[in-house]
Amino acid sequence: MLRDSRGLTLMELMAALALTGILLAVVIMLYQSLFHVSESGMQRYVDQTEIRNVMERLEEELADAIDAVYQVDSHQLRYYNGLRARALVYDPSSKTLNMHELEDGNDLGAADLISPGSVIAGNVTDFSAVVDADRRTLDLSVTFEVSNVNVSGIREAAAETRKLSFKLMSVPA
Amino acid sequence: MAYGNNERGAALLMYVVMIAVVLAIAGPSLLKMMYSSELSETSYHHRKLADNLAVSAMDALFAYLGEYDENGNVSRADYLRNFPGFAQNAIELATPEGIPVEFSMQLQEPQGASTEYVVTVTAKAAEGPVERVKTIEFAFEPSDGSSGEDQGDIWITTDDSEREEVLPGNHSFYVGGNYDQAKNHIENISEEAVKNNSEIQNAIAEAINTYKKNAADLYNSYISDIYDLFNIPDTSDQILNEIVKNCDPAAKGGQCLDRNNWTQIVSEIQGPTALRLPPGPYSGRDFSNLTFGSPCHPVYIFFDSSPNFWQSPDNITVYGAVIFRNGYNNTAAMNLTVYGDVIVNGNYQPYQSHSITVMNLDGLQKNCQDVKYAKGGNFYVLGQFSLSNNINLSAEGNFYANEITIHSSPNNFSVGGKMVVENKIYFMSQNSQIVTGQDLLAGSYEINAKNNRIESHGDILIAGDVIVRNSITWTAGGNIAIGGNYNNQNHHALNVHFQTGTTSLITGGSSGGSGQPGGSSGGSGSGGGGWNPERRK
Repeated sequence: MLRDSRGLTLMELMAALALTGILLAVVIMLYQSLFHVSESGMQRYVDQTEIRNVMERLEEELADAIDAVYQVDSHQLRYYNGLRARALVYDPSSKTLNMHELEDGNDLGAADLISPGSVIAGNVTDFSAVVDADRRTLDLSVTFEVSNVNVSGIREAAAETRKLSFKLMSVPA
Repeated sequence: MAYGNNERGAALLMYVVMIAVVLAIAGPSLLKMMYSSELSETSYHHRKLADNLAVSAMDALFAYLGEYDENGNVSRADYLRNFPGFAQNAIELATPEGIPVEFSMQLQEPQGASTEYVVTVTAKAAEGPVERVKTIEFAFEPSDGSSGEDQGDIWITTDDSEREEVLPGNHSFYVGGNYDQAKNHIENISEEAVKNNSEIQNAIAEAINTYKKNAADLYNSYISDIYDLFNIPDTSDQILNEIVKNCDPAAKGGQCLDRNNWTQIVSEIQGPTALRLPPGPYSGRDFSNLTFGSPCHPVYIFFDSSPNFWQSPDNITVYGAVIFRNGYNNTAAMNLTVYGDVIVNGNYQPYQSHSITVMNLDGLQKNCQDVKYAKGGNFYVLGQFSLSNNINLSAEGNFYANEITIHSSPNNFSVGGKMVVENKIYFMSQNSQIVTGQDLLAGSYEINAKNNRIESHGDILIAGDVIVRNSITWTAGGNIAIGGNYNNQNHHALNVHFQTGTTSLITGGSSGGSGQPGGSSGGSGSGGGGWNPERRK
């Protein structure tokens, strides 16, 4: 049996090693790409879950509002639903959207904010609202900063804007 | 070949096992992610469905009310009743996607002395874990405007800035129902000085309703702003762990907490803090001489059920608030000072001596940063207040109770602001006194025993009947009004005295204020016509 067996030449051995190396490199690259794709998907899931939670909270807060005022300079949306008056305050420096109670007062626009507020959203890069007093509508726009991970594993920031529209209830005097 | 085949089979088996292992590990996570995401999306969709349905229904009612013709011959109350959208029984529908939807819009007629019509809209989308329900409730007090015929308009302002000073000799005594001076013995008041006014009952009832709402609003704000916001843990161990979370065991001789040592526990509290305390039992010996919080670090104490003190707690001071979420019913005595508010959601039934002082915390917080939770010196009992022994209650702010029954004596109420009792104040025993800095308002008043005294530096306003079976002294700085009948059953005297003060009872004109958005103390009036809507849920 041993006499029939033929050993490998140096060239054959090197060729085999080279092929194995190339195969291993391809497998590792594929694995890394798959890992990054998976990470990207997971990050997207986390971002989308957070965004959905924030938008649900805003929907719950504003669905039955009867009055709203947006103050452009201070990035504040003040609203009143008959039970309580609150303000959504956007802080560009910390990229947070905060919720504050408002002190009792006749004027929704002039009432004092009660501190501390509570942070309801982070990674917010833009927040704006349009209140149409005649049509009694409120259009809200929130832009979130989300992360995308490419196949090379590099994180890239991206913006995702969500919008909500509400009809303000018209309570008779 | 046979060996080769076997070897390929073994390798294939290995691949199958590896794939199965990977799927077993990753599969549930993937499915859970997809399921959670789907569940959340579905719930959100159902929430929007329920919200939109409820809001649209209420908005339709508002639009209908806005079309009311003030010059027509239909009263506002009848017009409200005629709204075609009311459905006493729930209506079951299904959306085109097959989501079951249940909807009801109900009108509740005024109850008792109340003049409120309550409209409740409930919309429910889907069933099971993704079910979402939205309820909106508004109370309306349809007012067609005052006639202003003989008596002129009269209302009770709840806005302190509208109070009027009453000069000596200008005090008035109003009776809305039956009164006979010859039989009824009101001392120090001539028969001519007693004015009959049938509007006074509604005016007082409206003011009481406003103060009742303020009390409920304050309680709700503590629940929504603090109880819910702090996400307070719900077991005693968690609470105590929460209290001492910043405690360094090494600095405390190896142990942070002895759960029977309340002095130690209280010293570890980091404020502002909300505590949700278990019902006990508490040893009064251990639960005494304690100071919870400080002006800049208020502590909000919530009892989910009536605490069980098996010995009397003594000398407890709280900076913040004490909230009994389900009443107070205990036989232990108590000596409690609160810089903030005390609110009992339910009945308050102390059976032993209680000394409770409620002070305003606002002035003490002027040097604190961002501490504005504490309100001011109010004692509110949203249920019945039943006194069976010696009670000394001092509140720097306002007092509210659904009803007060004094079974035994003596008792002292000292209220810096207004004292409001929605239903009856019933003095069954003697030697009790009520002193208020502003008005005393009550649904009705009944007294059986002697040596009781009421002194108000504002008005004394009783919406319903006054029944006197023993002598009583009333002293008012403003005016006195009885909306119902005055009934002196045993010919005892009602001694009336007036002193300098202010009144909330406004006559003439018709410019009652309206409720204020975001506020809880909006003035109300009975002068002008309107729907007077007020959100309840």
